[in-house]
Amino acid sequence: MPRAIDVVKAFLTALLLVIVLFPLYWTLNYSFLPEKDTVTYPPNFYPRWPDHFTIDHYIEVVTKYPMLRAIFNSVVIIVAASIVTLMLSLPPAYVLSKLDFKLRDSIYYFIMALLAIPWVSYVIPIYRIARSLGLIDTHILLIMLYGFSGIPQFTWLAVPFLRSFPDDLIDVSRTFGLSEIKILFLIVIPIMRNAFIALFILRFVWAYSDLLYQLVFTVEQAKTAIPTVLEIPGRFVMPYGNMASGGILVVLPLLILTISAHKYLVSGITEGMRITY
Amino acid sequence: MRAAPKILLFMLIIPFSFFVVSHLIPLFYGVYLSFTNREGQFIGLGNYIRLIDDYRFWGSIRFTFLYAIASALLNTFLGLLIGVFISSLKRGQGILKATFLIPWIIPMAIWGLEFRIIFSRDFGLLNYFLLSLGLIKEPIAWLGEAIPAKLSIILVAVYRYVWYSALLFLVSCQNIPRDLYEAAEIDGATSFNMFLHITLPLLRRTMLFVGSMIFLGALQAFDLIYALTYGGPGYATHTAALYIFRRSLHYGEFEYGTAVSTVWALIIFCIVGTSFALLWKLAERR
Repeated sequence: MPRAIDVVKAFLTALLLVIVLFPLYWTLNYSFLPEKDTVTYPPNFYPRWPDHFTIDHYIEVVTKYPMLRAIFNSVVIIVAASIVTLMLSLPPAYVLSKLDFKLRDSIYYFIMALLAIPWVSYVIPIYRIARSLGLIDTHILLIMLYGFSGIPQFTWLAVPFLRSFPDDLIDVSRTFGLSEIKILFLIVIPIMRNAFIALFILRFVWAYSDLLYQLVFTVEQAKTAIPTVLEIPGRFVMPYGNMASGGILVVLPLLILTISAHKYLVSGITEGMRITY
Repeated sequence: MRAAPKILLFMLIIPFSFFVVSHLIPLFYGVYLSFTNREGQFIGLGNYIRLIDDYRFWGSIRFTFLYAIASALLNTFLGLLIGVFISSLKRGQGILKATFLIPWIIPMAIWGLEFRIIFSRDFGLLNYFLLSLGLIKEPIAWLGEAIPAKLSIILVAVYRYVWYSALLFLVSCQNIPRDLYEAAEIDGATSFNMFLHITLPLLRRTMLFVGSMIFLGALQAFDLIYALTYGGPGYATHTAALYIFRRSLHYGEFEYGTAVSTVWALIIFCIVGTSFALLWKLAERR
């Protein structure tokens, strides 16, 4: 017979699962409810086929708003930007964790201090400069901004991973005459690829989810997913069904990416957390 | 190995200069702008003097700190409980770990949209629950009144981040050596005593880490509030970031906006600097 404590634990586990998944479920629910069923009291807990089920919200969101284009923009921009971020933050992280030089610790603390500067302080002057350069609403501006803005943070995140890399391997590579850049890109990164794939996903998820830069620097051509979906709720009407289906569509690329790279994510993040403490 | 100057140039200075050019130079340009007016004339401290009496700015700072402190405390405390609970499970840890990543994947702005549905006064699930449990008599306009709106924002922030902090606590629980517990068990300690005298002290560093990370992130809160309340009703739920955004980009007062954001950046910098120094000293004392 199971002990009482085990039953309680199983119940609590199930409860936690329900609570974690509930917002996603509720959004899915509303995205399939016909308009009239989204404004009832009490609320509908699930769509019922055929009368209380529809895919009209998805069709409407895709046709009335440039949703597909926005999601495409987001994915292209953020993939490019995340590659840029990693390419530019792994070399500094390598230098800071594996090489010796004057001011090394000061530079490390300087980079940490940069993390405390609020993003909104960068945004306004960058907007002024980008406007005078005619770069507002271009893909390249967002790729550059998301590519470069992550450099301090990802340098800081990559340092513990690189510190844990065995020094002997690097020394051996040096005796073969490899330069430091080659050691980083041909030896260290391939061996620690799980960790760097995890960092890539982290960068992708953060930049894709960010609102501030996307809101300020895009208007139409380069408009991305998050600002587009936030235009669905009107000032006086709340199209709950469209809000829900738009939300689901925007989250889809993130879900696909993280589920397909789930292995790297869990091992990378867990490993990172183990090293950090 | 000592780094040659050439390596430092190519692997540190050049990569980092991209950040300097794209972000740090604009930041200083912003500080310069804060001393000018709309016509580009130098007006000294004019914008800063105006800021002293800007009660909306100070109000937004108050709410930012309320939000940051509340979400840091609640997320750390609840995350600790959930993390310790999961580490005590013999089965189901894997599935919980995997599902705990889902709230984190969903962007904060989408959480805002989702919870607009749940917080709806007439059709929302929250009011339905509270009314049918008899906890409230009248439906509450969660996003339409100041105090409920503030509570709603904190609730959503906790709902989203508590799983992340639980994962961090779970990992550090698993790093605690088993023999500590075995030794305590032989000495006849109850599980509550073990939690109090082994788990908690060893998790102190994690608590400080989680709490300060969430606090730091919450000071920058923008997405959730933009999507959920847009700072409303009135200015009740404006955070500093949203206030600066609206001042400069909606009302076009760039120069004043840069003054506000310079002050805000300095406030964060001082508070973060001092509190982190203190916290890490505390953590290292063991």
